[in-house]
Amino acid sequence: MTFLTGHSGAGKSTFLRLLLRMEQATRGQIHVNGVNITQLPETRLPYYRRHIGAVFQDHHLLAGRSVFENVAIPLRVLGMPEKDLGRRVRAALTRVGLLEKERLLPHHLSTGEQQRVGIARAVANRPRILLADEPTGNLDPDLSRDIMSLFEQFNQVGTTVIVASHDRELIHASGRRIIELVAGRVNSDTGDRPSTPRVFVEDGGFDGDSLDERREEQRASEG
Amino acid sequence: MLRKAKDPFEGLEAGSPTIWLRDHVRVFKEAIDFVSRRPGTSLLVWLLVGIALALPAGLYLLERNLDDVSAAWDGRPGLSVYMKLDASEAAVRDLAARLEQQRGVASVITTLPEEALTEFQAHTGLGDALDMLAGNPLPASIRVLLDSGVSTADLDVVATGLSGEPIVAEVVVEKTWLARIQDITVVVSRLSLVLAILFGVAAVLVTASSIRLAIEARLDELKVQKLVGATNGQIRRPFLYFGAIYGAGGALVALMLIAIALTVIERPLTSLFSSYGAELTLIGFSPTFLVMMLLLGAGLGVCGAIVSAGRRVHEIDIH
Repeated sequence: MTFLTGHSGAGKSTFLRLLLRMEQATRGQIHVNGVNITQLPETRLPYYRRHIGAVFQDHHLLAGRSVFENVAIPLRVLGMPEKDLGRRVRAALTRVGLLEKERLLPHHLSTGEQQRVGIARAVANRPRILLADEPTGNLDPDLSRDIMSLFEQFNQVGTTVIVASHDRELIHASGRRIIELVAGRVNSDTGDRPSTPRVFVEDGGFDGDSLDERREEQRASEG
Repeated sequence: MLRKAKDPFEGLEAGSPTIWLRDHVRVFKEAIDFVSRRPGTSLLVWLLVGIALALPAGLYLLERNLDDVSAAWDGRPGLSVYMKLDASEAAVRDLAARLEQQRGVASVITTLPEEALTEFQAHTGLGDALDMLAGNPLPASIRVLLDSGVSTADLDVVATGLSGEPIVAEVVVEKTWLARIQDITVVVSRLSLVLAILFGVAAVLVTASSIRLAIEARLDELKVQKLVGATNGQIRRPFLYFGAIYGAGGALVALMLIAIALTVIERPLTSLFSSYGAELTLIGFSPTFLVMMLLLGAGLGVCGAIVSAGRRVHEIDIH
């Protein structure tokens, strides 16, 4: 689990959008799990995104769809049978404590609950990487801690979690790796922790990782 | 030896036929639901597409029926020979006998004035009025059917020969009617082709613009789908079904409009045909025609959807 921090405009959201290929890097390369996603063809992009869960500050929930239907979207994209889909959606909603609200429309929920629906949707298809862009931006401190606790739980079951946030108190309390960005460049990095994600950026304005070490790891994993 | 690195993001591709089929069933149900939740818009689209399809389809049916009328001549030209009122029965029968002996004549049917009057009374229902006439105003007539394959020139020779007979008042060559109907059929055929192209394009455009509106209305949903890994094909799929539903619904409306039009014109047409002693049998409005119309409508709708959704879905910006 890694936190990206920095002032507004530092590049936190841009970094996450680059990881999702919502933006295309103008220079440099981005490797995710050994794949150079900057060169990923358009036709492969959807299959790559199926492995990434994304949580946004403004939730991106569909107003006319119930909580259940919102969480089910990534599973429908996978063509999951209804029976399995229902089980997976309810498991995700149970995880975020909203199972009893599965039939409600998003506008009947509080902001914190909407954020948790967004998280449930992001983790419903068990992604390898979970990206969260200011997930606690609109929440009070108690709710923010709840959300962070959820991310910790996902991380403990093997999901790489990258959180962009400017909530320094919350970030420092986590004791996880923290990368501070200033004007699109790494200003400080607390360094690797056991849960460091296999995400690194090569010559793209971010220089927090040892590329040689990563290459060695990659060669070793490819046999 | 270098081994190709395994793509760590393999495994979540909706590749199996079962998954593909299941997704189509789900999307079809969603499309039905989407269309039925907007009855006003859907009815308007169906009506517009229906009107666009009704005219060329109606002309196609007209062409089929004209073809049928032409075919009823069986390729055998004929003549109707009307006698002078003072022609004796013996003279008429003599002429008929001579015609039967002539080369190229297939059959000769003689109708005497009394038989003509009886037939006329039966068809027009003017029995009482005709009884008040001093005499029979109808002449004797001979209908001559020639062998198939007889040329127009041969027909003209026979007609000219008959015109010279002293008891003959008038010779009507039926071939000219056939030629007229065939000419009209050609005109109708070409007109229906031109209109089918023009109105087909109109139907595609109506569907395309409706689907464009549907895409814009669901843009937030499509962006989320793209974000969680839906392919352009998956995002486009519901709109292809919208197109098919709009097109098939429009074809259904067109069929109803044609059926109404046929009901309205059936009585006067029947009357017109019976006055010529023929029986009206409208053909073409068959189960095959209905199925073809529905398939054509659905096909045009899908074309409209491809025109509209193809590029737009690709351009959806999830920034």
